[in-house]
Amino acid sequence: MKLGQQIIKELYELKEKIPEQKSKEKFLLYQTKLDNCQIQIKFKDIDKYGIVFDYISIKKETPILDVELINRTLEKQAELIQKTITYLLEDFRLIELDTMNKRAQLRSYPPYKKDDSKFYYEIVLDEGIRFHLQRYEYSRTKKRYEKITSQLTLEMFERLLEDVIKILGECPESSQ
Amino acid sequence: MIMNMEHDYNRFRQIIKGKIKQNLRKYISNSGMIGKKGKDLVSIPLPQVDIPRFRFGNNGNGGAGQGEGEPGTPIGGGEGESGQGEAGNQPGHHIKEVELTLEELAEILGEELELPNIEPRGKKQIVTQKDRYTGIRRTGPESLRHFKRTFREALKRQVTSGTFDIKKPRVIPIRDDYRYRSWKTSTIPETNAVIIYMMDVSGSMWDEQKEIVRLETFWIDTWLRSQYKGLETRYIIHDAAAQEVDRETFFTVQENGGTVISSAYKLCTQIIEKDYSPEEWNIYAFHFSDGDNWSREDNELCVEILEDSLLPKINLFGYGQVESAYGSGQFFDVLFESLSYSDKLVLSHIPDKDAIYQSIKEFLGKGK
Repeated sequence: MKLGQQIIKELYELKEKIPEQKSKEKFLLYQTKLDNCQIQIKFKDIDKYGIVFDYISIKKETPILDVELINRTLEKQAELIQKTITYLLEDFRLIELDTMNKRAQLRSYPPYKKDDSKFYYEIVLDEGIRFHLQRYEYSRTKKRYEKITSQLTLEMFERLLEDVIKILGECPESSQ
Repeated sequence: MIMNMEHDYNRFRQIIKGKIKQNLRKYISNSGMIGKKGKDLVSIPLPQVDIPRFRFGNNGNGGAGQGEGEPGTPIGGGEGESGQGEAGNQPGHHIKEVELTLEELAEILGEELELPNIEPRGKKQIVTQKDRYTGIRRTGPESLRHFKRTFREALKRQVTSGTFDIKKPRVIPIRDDYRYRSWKTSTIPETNAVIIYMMDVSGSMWDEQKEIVRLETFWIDTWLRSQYKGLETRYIIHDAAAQEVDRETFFTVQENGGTVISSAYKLCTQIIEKDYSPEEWNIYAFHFSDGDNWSREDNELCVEILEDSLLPKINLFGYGQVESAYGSGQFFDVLFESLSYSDKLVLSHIPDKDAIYQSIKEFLGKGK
């Protein structure tokens, strides 16, 4: 069974364990260790068509020690994300590459605008080993950001998980 | 005659000023004008000032209609058909430009935005020494020789000694006739001010946001220059780290780093401590960012620096939060929640160019 499929199966199982009323009210937190990665998904619902999730966080367990290599890795990972993850609501663009704090930030480009709101995904890559995806809404009226849920078909969700794990796994070696 | 011309000229200037005042909101958010800024003059594109005059009407083309028209018959209309005309060969209408001094511009800005004049806070007045060439001496370097005075002395000498021939007017100065310009050093009390501009140049600050900052700083500069004789400006840019740069770099630099606002506040504090004693200087600091700071810890550090180091030393700290393509961060709220009690802090949201007008009013409206 592929990694993505396995995660989806486990997400189903987690949802089944929670009584229906309770699972509708709040988010469920799925955590697992697979393939040298810690995976955390905070989700609201999953059915046979798709998933509604708050965030996906994936962290490789092996740290990169060399600072220069971390920054090269971040660059490479950002490049791969921009090229590979093109099937969500918007494509990604590297916004900030903070070499001092070893962090890269990618966001939807362009963000989706509706009425007085802007919607966008944000991916934060930390130290070349951690990936975090969250969707936000910025409202001009409220003048603040809010985390919002993302909805994906199971096919897209599975593809996303596998792409991210591949991107996180590939880079340190290939960037040397 | 001269009086009339002067009167007309002054009247013309008044009309121009009135026009600029009417359209000030437009000029404030228009960067084209800043590009035309000379050392002391600014060129402002101004729509033509129309002077009332008689014009001929279109006699012969109209007239009363006769008979009944068929449904669909166009009323009036020309004879030519569309698409058959030739390209024009006359020059188009050019937008007139008028030149204003920065003082005039500041005056208009102050009147329109009802800005109060600033009361300098510096306790001591700085005394500057200025050399003015007001005197005349008998000795001096040749480069300062006053030709007119020298020849006048020579003429006087020749006339009194009777060697001047009116039919053959030749004036030959001798050593005793030589006169030289000399200077007097005067001390002028001066109230000095410094503005420290800080700008977030992290990856989320795109050209549009920097343009807003450029416009804001131009108007702040213009106003404060009209209020202080000796105005210095310093520029700090920051992403995850801060550095001092020159004006050109400030507005053109492209970075894509993260955002650590405290780095700029630390550098600003260092600059003030090193170069500007708060007792002698009126210190202004303005910071522009999209408010997406790196971490909550850094937000707290910024508040601490402002509260302990910056606000006690300065006249005014202006924080302008521009809106990036993704919106506006939380830093504005952080400052508002922690420091809104301070009358030295002015916070302003600048979502787009149209908001600059109000923002300038907020920044400068306190008269500090």
